[in-house]
Amino acid sequence: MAIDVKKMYTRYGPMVNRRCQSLLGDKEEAADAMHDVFVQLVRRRDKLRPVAAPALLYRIATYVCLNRMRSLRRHPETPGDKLLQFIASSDEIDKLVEHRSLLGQIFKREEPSTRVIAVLHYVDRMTLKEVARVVGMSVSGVRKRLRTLKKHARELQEMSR
Amino acid sequence: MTRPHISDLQLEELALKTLPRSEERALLTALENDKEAQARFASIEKGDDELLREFTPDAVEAEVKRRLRILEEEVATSPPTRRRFNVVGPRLVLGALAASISIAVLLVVFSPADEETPGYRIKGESLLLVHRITKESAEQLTEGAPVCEGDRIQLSVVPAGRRYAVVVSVDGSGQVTVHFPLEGNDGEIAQTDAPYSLPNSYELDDAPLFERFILITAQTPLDPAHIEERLRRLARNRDWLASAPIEGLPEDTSQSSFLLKKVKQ
Repeated sequence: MAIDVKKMYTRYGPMVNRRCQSLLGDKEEAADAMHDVFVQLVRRRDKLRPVAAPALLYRIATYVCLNRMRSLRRHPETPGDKLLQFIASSDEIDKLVEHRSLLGQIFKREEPSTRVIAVLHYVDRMTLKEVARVVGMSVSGVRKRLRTLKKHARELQEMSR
Repeated sequence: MTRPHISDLQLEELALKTLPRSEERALLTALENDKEAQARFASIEKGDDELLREFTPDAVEAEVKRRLRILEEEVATSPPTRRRFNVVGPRLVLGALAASISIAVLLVVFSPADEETPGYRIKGESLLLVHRITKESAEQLTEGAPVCEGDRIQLSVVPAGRRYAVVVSVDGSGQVTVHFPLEGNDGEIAQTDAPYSLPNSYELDDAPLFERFILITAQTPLDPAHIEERLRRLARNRDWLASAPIEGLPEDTSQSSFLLKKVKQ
Protein backbone atom coordinates (compact mmCIF):
# COMPACT_ATOMS: atom_id res chain seq x y z
CA MET A 1 0.00 0.00 0.00
CA ALA A 2 1.61 3.27 -1.12
CA ILE A 3 1.59 6.24 1.26
CA ASP A 4 1.42 9.75 -0.19
CA VAL A 5 3.37 11.55 2.50
CA LYS A 6 2.68 15.05 1.18
CA LYS A 7 -1.05 14.43 1.06
CA MET A 8 -1.17 12.74 4.46
CA TYR A 9 0.94 15.46 6.06
CA THR A 10 -1.10 18.30 4.55
CA ARG A 11 -4.30 16.79 5.89
CA TYR A 12 -3.18 15.25 9.17
CA GLY A 13 0.18 16.85 9.96
CA PRO A 14 -1.27 19.60 12.17
CA MET A 15 -3.22 17.00 14.18
CA VAL A 16 -0.08 14.92 14.61
CA ASN A 17 1.89 18.00 15.59
CA ARG A 18 -0.67 18.96 18.21
CA ARG A 19 -0.62 15.44 19.63
CA CYS A 20 3.18 15.45 19.85
CA GLN A 21 3.16 18.90 21.47
CA SER A 22 0.64 17.82 24.07
CA LEU A 23 2.79 14.82 25.02
CA LEU A 24 6.26 16.32 24.70
CA GLY A 25 5.49 19.91 25.69
CA ASP A 26 8.29 21.25 23.52
CA LYS A 27 7.60 22.79 20.09
CA GLU A 28 10.85 21.71 18.46
CA GLU A 29 10.78 18.21 19.89
CA ALA A 30 7.20 17.89 18.75
CA ALA A 31 8.00 18.94 15.19
CA ASP A 32 10.87 16.46 15.08
CA ALA A 33 8.65 13.70 16.46
CA MET A 34 5.99 14.60 13.91
CA HIS A 35 8.42 13.75 11.10
CA ASP A 36 9.14 10.41 12.79
CA VAL A 37 5.43 9.64 12.89
CA PHE A 38 5.26 9.84 9.11
CA VAL A 39 8.44 7.81 8.83
CA GLN A 40 6.78 5.07 10.89
CA LEU A 41 3.63 5.32 8.81
CA VAL A 42 5.63 4.64 5.63
CA ARG A 43 7.77 1.93 7.22
CA ARG A 44 4.78 -0.01 8.49
CA ARG A 45 2.52 0.54 5.49
CA ASP A 46 2.28 -3.16 4.68
CA LYS A 47 1.28 -4.04 8.21
CA LEU A 48 -1.42 -1.43 8.68
CA ARG A 49 -4.78 -2.65 9.87
CA PRO A 50 -7.98 -1.11 8.59
CA VAL A 51 -8.13 1.72 11.14
CA ALA A 52 -9.18 5.25 10.21
CA ALA A 53 -6.23 7.55 9.47
CA PRO A 54 -6.69 9.97 12.39
CA ALA A 55 -6.84 7.13 14.92
CA LEU A 56 -3.89 5.37 13.31
CA LEU A 57 -1.71 8.48 13.29
CA TYR A 58 -2.78 9.30 16.84
CA ARG A 59 -1.61 5.88 17.95
CA ILE A 60 1.71 6.10 16.10
CA ALA A 61 2.28 9.59 17.52
CA THR A 62 1.70 8.29 21.04
CA TYR A 63 4.21 5.47 20.52
CA VAL A 64 6.81 7.78 19.03
CA CYS A 65 6.45 10.33 21.81
CA LEU A 66 6.52 7.76 24.63
CA ASN A 67 9.76 6.40 23.17
CA ARG A 68 11.23 9.89 23.03
CA MET A 69 10.23 10.67 26.57
CA ARG A 70 12.27 7.76 27.85
CA SER A 71 15.41 9.68 27.01
CA LEU A 72 14.26 13.16 27.89
CA ARG A 73 15.35 14.83 31.13
CA ARG A 74 12.13 16.63 31.89
CA HIS A 75 10.79 18.06 35.05
CA PRO A 76 7.09 17.31 34.93
CA GLU A 77 4.88 20.18 35.95
CA THR A 78 1.37 18.81 35.81
CA PRO A 79 -0.24 15.61 37.13
CA GLY A 80 -0.70 14.48 33.53
CA ASP A 81 2.97 15.18 32.83
CA LYS A 82 3.98 13.13 35.87
CA LEU A 83 1.94 10.16 34.75
CA LEU A 84 3.34 10.42 31.24
CA GLN A 85 6.88 10.60 32.55
CA PHE A 86 6.29 7.57 34.78
CA ILE A 87 4.88 5.64 31.86
CA ALA A 88 7.67 6.58 29.49
CA SER A 89 10.67 6.41 31.77
CA SER A 90 9.79 3.25 33.60
CA ASP A 91 13.25 1.75 33.33
CA GLU A 92 14.82 4.58 35.29
CA ILE A 93 13.64 3.38 38.64
CA ASP A 94 16.88 4.17 40.38
CA LYS A 95 16.40 7.83 39.56
CA LEU A 96 12.91 8.14 40.95
CA VAL A 97 11.62 8.65 44.48
CA GLU A 98 9.78 5.74 46.12
CA HIS A 99 6.24 6.18 44.88
CA ARG A 100 7.36 7.13 41.40
CA SER A 101 9.70 4.17 41.22
CA LEU A 102 6.78 1.96 42.10
CA LEU A 103 4.88 3.24 39.11
CA GLY A 104 8.04 2.84 37.10
CA GLN A 105 8.22 -0.80 38.11
CA ILE A 106 4.63 -1.30 37.18
CA PHE A 107 5.10 0.01 33.68
CA LYS A 108 8.47 -1.65 33.26
CA ARG A 109 6.66 -4.98 33.13
CA GLU A 110 4.23 -3.82 30.51
CA GLU A 111 4.52 -3.91 26.75
CA PRO A 112 4.79 -0.64 24.83
CA SER A 113 1.27 -1.18 23.51
CA THR A 114 -0.06 -1.46 27.07
CA ARG A 115 1.64 1.82 27.94
CA VAL A 116 -0.06 3.46 24.96
CA ILE A 117 -3.38 2.04 26.12
CA ALA A 118 -2.73 3.41 29.61
CA VAL A 119 -1.97 6.90 28.22
CA LEU A 120 -5.05 6.92 26.05
CA HIS A 121 -7.35 5.77 28.84
CA TYR A 122 -5.92 7.42 31.96
CA VAL A 123 -4.36 10.58 30.54
CA ASP A 124 -6.47 11.28 27.45
CA ARG A 125 -9.51 9.92 29.29
CA MET A 126 -10.74 7.96 26.29
CA THR A 127 -13.40 5.35 26.83
CA LEU A 128 -12.49 1.70 26.34
CA LYS A 129 -14.32 1.74 23.02
CA GLU A 130 -12.32 4.75 21.83
CA VAL A 131 -9.06 3.20 22.99
CA ALA A 132 -9.93 -0.03 21.20
CA ARG A 133 -10.58 1.88 18.01
CA VAL A 134 -7.27 3.73 18.18
CA VAL A 135 -5.07 0.75 19.01
CA GLY A 136 -6.93 -1.66 16.75
CA MET A 137 -7.93 -4.15 19.43
CA SER A 138 -11.23 -5.40 20.72
CA VAL A 139 -12.80 -3.68 23.72
CA SER A 140 -12.48 -6.86 25.72
CA GLY A 141 -8.80 -7.04 24.79
CA VAL A 142 -8.22 -3.50 26.02
CA ARG A 143 -10.18 -4.19 29.17
CA LYS A 144 -8.08 -7.23 29.83
CA ARG A 145 -4.83 -5.28 29.39
CA LEU A 146 -5.93 -2.59 31.83
CA ARG A 147 -7.11 -5.18 34.32
CA THR A 148 -3.73 -6.90 34.13
CA LEU A 149 -2.00 -3.55 34.56
CA LYS A 150 -4.05 -2.77 37.67
CA LYS A 151 -3.35 -6.25 39.02
CA HIS A 152 0.38 -5.76 38.56
CA ALA A 153 0.08 -2.38 40.26
CA ARG A 154 -1.70 -3.92 43.25
CA GLU A 155 0.89 -6.70 43.49
CA LEU A 156 3.72 -4.23 43.53
CA GLN A 157 1.98 -2.06 46.09
CA GLU A 158 1.58 -5.12 48.34
CA MET A 159 5.23 -6.01 47.92
CA SER A 160 6.34 -2.48 48.77
CA ARG A 161 4.49 -2.45 52.12
CA MET B 1 -24.38 12.28 36.41
CA THR B 2 -20.85 12.86 35.13
CA ARG B 3 -20.60 14.16 31.60
CA PRO B 4 -18.48 11.91 29.37
CA HIS B 5 -15.13 13.43 28.56
CA ILE B 6 -14.69 14.56 24.96
CA SER B 7 -11.21 13.48 23.93
CA ASP B 8 -8.81 15.52 21.83
CA LEU B 9 -8.98 12.84 19.15
CA GLN B 10 -12.75 13.21 18.88
CA LEU B 11 -12.35 16.98 18.45
CA GLU B 12 -9.65 16.47 15.83
CA GLU B 13 -11.89 14.09 13.90
CA LEU B 14 -14.73 16.59 14.15
CA ALA B 15 -12.50 19.30 12.69
CA LEU B 16 -11.30 16.94 9.96
CA LYS B 17 -14.87 15.89 9.22
CA THR B 18 -13.96 12.21 9.31
CA LEU B 19 -16.67 11.14 11.73
CA PRO B 20 -19.79 9.27 10.63
CA ARG B 21 -22.78 11.64 10.54
CA SER B 22 -24.48 10.17 13.58
CA GLU B 23 -21.33 10.46 15.66
CA GLU B 24 -20.73 13.99 14.43
CA ARG B 25 -24.25 15.03 15.44
CA ALA B 26 -23.90 13.43 18.86
CA LEU B 27 -20.56 15.12 19.41
CA LEU B 28 -21.84 18.54 18.39
CA THR B 29 -24.71 18.13 20.83
CA ALA B 30 -22.31 17.17 23.61
CA LEU B 31 -20.10 20.14 22.75
CA GLU B 32 -22.94 22.58 23.31
CA ASN B 33 -22.75 21.96 27.04
CA ASP B 34 -19.02 21.60 27.41
CA LYS B 35 -17.20 24.91 27.51
CA GLU B 36 -13.86 23.31 28.17
CA ALA B 37 -14.14 21.11 25.09
CA GLN B 38 -15.38 24.09 23.09
CA ALA B 39 -12.19 25.93 23.96
CA ARG B 40 -10.06 22.99 22.86
CA PHE B 41 -12.04 22.72 19.64
CA ALA B 42 -11.63 26.42 18.95
CA SER B 43 -7.89 26.09 19.29
CA ILE B 44 -7.90 23.21 16.78
CA GLU B 45 -10.06 25.14 14.35
CA LYS B 46 -7.87 28.25 14.63
CA GLY B 47 -6.01 26.99 11.67
CA ASP B 48 -2.99 25.03 10.64
CA ASP B 49 -1.41 27.54 8.31
CA GLU B 50 1.53 28.32 10.55
CA LEU B 51 2.74 24.74 10.70
CA LEU B 52 2.29 24.17 6.99
CA ARG B 53 4.23 27.36 6.27
CA GLU B 54 7.06 26.46 8.63
CA PHE B 55 7.24 22.86 7.45
CA THR B 56 5.98 22.74 3.89
CA PRO B 57 4.65 19.44 2.50
CA ASP B 58 7.59 19.25 0.09
CA ALA B 59 10.10 19.74 2.89
CA VAL B 60 8.42 17.19 5.15
CA GLU B 61 8.30 14.64 2.35
CA ALA B 62 12.00 15.15 1.65
CA GLU B 63 12.90 14.85 5.33
CA VAL B 64 10.80 11.70 5.78
CA LYS B 65 12.51 10.13 2.76
CA ARG B 66 15.90 11.10 4.18
CA ARG B 67 15.15 9.49 7.53
CA LEU B 68 13.85 6.37 5.82
CA ARG B 69 17.07 6.08 3.81
CA ILE B 70 19.13 6.34 6.99
CA LEU B 71 17.04 3.66 8.68
CA GLU B 72 17.33 1.36 5.71
CA GLU B 73 21.10 1.83 5.64
CA GLU B 74 21.29 1.04 9.33
CA VAL B 75 19.28 -2.13 8.86
CA ALA B 76 21.40 -3.18 5.89
CA THR B 77 24.71 -2.68 7.69
CA SER B 78 23.91 -3.81 11.23
CA PRO B 79 24.22 -7.45 12.40
CA PRO B 80 21.05 -9.51 12.78
CA THR B 81 19.31 -8.70 16.06
CA ARG B 82 16.71 -10.52 18.01
CA ARG B 83 13.31 -9.35 17.00
CA ARG B 84 10.98 -8.42 19.76
CA PHE B 85 7.41 -9.49 19.41
CA ASN B 86 4.64 -7.21 20.48
CA VAL B 87 0.95 -7.08 20.09
CA VAL B 88 0.94 -4.44 17.38
CA GLY B 89 2.64 -6.53 14.78
CA PRO B 90 4.13 -9.87 15.70
CA ARG B 91 6.77 -10.89 13.21
CA LEU B 92 6.20 -14.56 12.78
CA VAL B 93 8.59 -17.03 11.28
CA LEU B 94 6.43 -17.27 8.19
CA GLY B 95 8.33 -20.10 6.61
CA ALA B 96 7.80 -22.31 9.64
CA LEU B 97 4.16 -21.31 9.80
CA ALA B 98 3.54 -22.04 6.15
CA ALA B 99 5.15 -25.46 6.43
CA SER B 100 3.26 -26.32 9.57
CA ILE B 101 -0.05 -25.22 8.08
CA SER B 102 -0.02 -27.79 5.31
CA ILE B 103 0.83 -30.49 7.83
CA ALA B 104 -1.94 -29.27 10.11
CA VAL B 105 -4.51 -29.43 7.35
CA LEU B 106 -3.44 -32.99 6.52
CA LEU B 107 -3.64 -33.98 10.17
CA VAL B 108 -7.11 -32.52 10.53
CA VAL B 109 -8.40 -34.23 7.42
CA PHE B 110 -6.84 -37.64 7.91
CA SER B 111 -6.44 -38.08 11.67
CA PRO B 112 -9.16 -39.29 13.96
CA ALA B 113 -10.27 -36.96 16.75
CA ASP B 114 -8.43 -37.39 20.03
CA GLU B 115 -10.89 -38.96 22.44
CA GLU B 116 -9.00 -37.90 25.56
CA THR B 117 -8.77 -34.18 24.99
CA PRO B 118 -11.74 -31.89 24.55
CA GLY B 119 -12.23 -30.07 21.30
CA TYR B 120 -13.94 -30.70 18.09
CA ARG B 121 -13.21 -30.16 14.42
CA ILE B 122 -15.17 -31.13 11.40
CA LYS B 123 -13.32 -32.40 8.35
CA GLY B 124 -13.26 -29.89 5.52
CA GLU B 125 -14.41 -27.00 7.70
CA SER B 126 -12.46 -23.88 8.57
CA LEU B 127 -10.02 -24.36 11.37
CA LEU B 128 -8.00 -22.46 13.92
CA LEU B 129 -4.25 -22.81 14.11
CA VAL B 130 -2.47 -21.89 17.32
CA HIS B 131 1.21 -21.07 17.56
CA ARG B 132 3.35 -20.21 20.54
CA ILE B 133 5.77 -17.56 19.37
CA THR B 134 9.16 -16.64 20.75
CA LYS B 135 11.87 -14.38 19.42
CA GLU B 136 13.26 -17.21 17.31
CA SER B 137 10.37 -19.35 16.22
CA ALA B 138 6.70 -20.13 15.94
CA GLU B 139 5.81 -23.50 17.48
CA GLN B 140 2.52 -24.96 16.39
CA LEU B 141 0.54 -26.25 19.35
CA THR B 142 -1.75 -29.24 19.44
CA GLU B 143 -5.06 -29.51 21.20
CA GLY B 144 -4.52 -29.74 24.96
CA ALA B 145 -0.91 -28.54 24.80
CA PRO B 146 0.50 -27.19 28.07
CA VAL B 147 1.02 -23.42 28.20
CA CYS B 148 1.77 -21.00 30.98
CA GLU B 149 1.38 -17.38 31.96
CA GLY B 150 3.45 -15.13 29.72
CA ASP B 151 3.42 -17.43 26.68
CA ARG B 152 2.65 -15.48 23.55
CA ILE B 153 0.04 -17.05 21.31
CA GLN B 154 -0.63 -16.29 17.65
CA LEU B 155 -3.91 -17.42 16.14
CA SER B 156 -4.47 -18.08 12.45
CA VAL B 157 -7.62 -19.03 10.58
CA VAL B 158 -7.76 -21.43 7.64
CA PRO B 159 -11.00 -20.20 6.08
CA ALA B 160 -11.83 -23.26 3.91
CA GLY B 161 -14.16 -21.14 1.87
CA ARG B 162 -15.88 -19.38 4.75
CA ARG B 163 -15.98 -15.61 4.28
CA TYR B 164 -16.54 -14.35 7.81
CA ALA B 165 -14.99 -15.31 11.11
CA VAL B 166 -15.19 -14.48 14.77
CA VAL B 167 -12.53 -15.74 17.18
CA VAL B 168 -13.25 -15.65 20.89
CA SER B 169 -11.68 -17.22 23.92
CA VAL B 170 -12.81 -18.20 27.36
CA ASP B 171 -10.39 -19.02 30.15
CA GLY B 172 -10.65 -21.18 33.22
CA SER B 173 -11.97 -18.30 35.27
CA GLY B 174 -14.81 -17.72 32.81
CA GLN B 175 -13.31 -14.57 31.30
CA VAL B 176 -14.39 -14.04 27.69
CA THR B 177 -12.27 -12.16 25.13
CA VAL B 178 -13.00 -11.33 21.49
CA HIS B 179 -9.81 -11.66 19.43
CA PHE B 180 -11.27 -11.09 15.99
CA PRO B 181 -12.67 -9.04 14.37
CA LEU B 182 -11.33 -5.78 15.71
CA GLU B 183 -13.74 -3.06 16.73
CA GLY B 184 -15.62 -1.69 13.77
CA ASN B 185 -14.74 -4.50 11.36
CA ASP B 186 -17.13 -7.10 10.02
CA GLY B 187 -14.78 -10.08 10.30
CA GLU B 188 -14.35 -10.74 6.59
CA ILE B 189 -11.24 -12.78 5.90
CA ALA B 190 -9.27 -13.16 2.71
CA GLN B 191 -10.09 -16.28 0.74
CA THR B 192 -6.60 -17.57 0.09
CA ASP B 193 -4.88 -20.89 0.54
CA ALA B 194 -2.59 -19.38 3.15
CA PRO B 195 -3.92 -19.10 6.69
CA TYR B 196 -5.07 -15.70 7.85
CA SER B 197 -3.05 -14.63 10.88
CA LEU B 198 -5.01 -12.47 13.30
CA PRO B 199 -3.61 -8.93 13.57
CA ASN B 200 -2.53 -9.27 17.21
CA SER B 201 -0.76 -11.95 19.14
CA TYR B 202 -1.94 -12.63 22.65
CA GLU B 203 0.03 -12.97 25.86
CA LEU B 204 -1.48 -15.47 28.27
CA ASP B 205 -2.29 -14.20 31.74
CA ASP B 206 -2.51 -16.16 34.96
CA ALA B 207 -6.05 -17.45 34.50
CA PRO B 208 -6.25 -21.03 35.81
CA LEU B 209 -6.90 -24.39 34.20
CA PHE B 210 -7.12 -23.56 30.48
CA GLU B 211 -7.46 -21.08 27.67
CA ARG B 212 -10.03 -22.14 25.11
CA PHE B 213 -10.23 -20.52 21.69
CA ILE B 214 -13.39 -20.83 19.62
CA LEU B 215 -13.59 -20.11 15.90
CA ILE B 216 -16.99 -19.34 14.42
CA THR B 217 -17.28 -18.96 10.64
CA ALA B 218 -20.05 -18.32 8.17
CA GLN B 219 -20.71 -17.19 4.62
CA THR B 220 -22.62 -14.13 5.84
CA PRO B 221 -21.50 -11.44 8.30
CA LEU B 222 -21.51 -12.52 11.93
CA ASP B 223 -22.44 -10.48 14.96
CA PRO B 224 -19.40 -10.51 17.28
CA ALA B 225 -21.25 -8.67 20.05
CA HIS B 226 -24.03 -11.26 20.03
CA ILE B 227 -21.53 -14.13 20.06
CA GLU B 228 -19.61 -12.51 22.91
CA GLU B 229 -22.81 -12.06 24.90
CA ARG B 230 -23.87 -15.68 24.33
CA LEU B 231 -20.46 -16.86 25.40
CA ARG B 232 -20.51 -14.72 28.56
CA ARG B 233 -23.81 -16.28 29.58
CA LEU B 234 -22.66 -19.81 28.82
CA ALA B 235 -19.38 -19.20 30.66
CA ARG B 236 -21.27 -18.74 33.92
CA ASN B 237 -21.82 -22.51 33.85
CA ARG B 238 -18.58 -24.16 34.91
CA ASP B 239 -19.62 -27.44 33.28
CA TRP B 240 -19.83 -25.75 29.92
CA LEU B 241 -16.54 -23.92 29.97
CA ALA B 242 -14.02 -26.47 28.73
CA SER B 243 -15.74 -28.30 25.93
CA ALA B 244 -19.34 -27.60 25.01
CA PRO B 245 -20.19 -25.81 21.74
CA ILE B 246 -21.88 -22.42 21.60
CA GLU B 247 -25.56 -23.04 21.03
CA GLY B 248 -28.09 -20.66 19.56
CA LEU B 249 -25.96 -19.42 16.66
CA PRO B 250 -27.38 -18.96 13.15
CA GLU B 251 -27.81 -22.14 11.09
CA ASP B 252 -25.12 -21.51 8.52
CA THR B 253 -22.34 -21.05 11.08
CA SER B 254 -19.71 -23.59 11.89
CA GLN B 255 -17.51 -23.59 14.95
CA SER B 256 -14.41 -25.29 16.19
CA SER B 257 -12.69 -25.22 19.55
CA PHE B 258 -9.06 -25.36 20.59
CA LEU B 259 -8.07 -25.74 24.22
CA LEU B 260 -4.69 -25.10 25.83
CA LYS B 261 -4.02 -26.40 29.32
CA LYS B 262 -2.54 -23.94 31.79
CA VAL B 263 0.39 -25.18 33.83
CA LYS B 264 2.69 -23.43 36.28
CA GLN B 265 6.06 -22.28 34.96
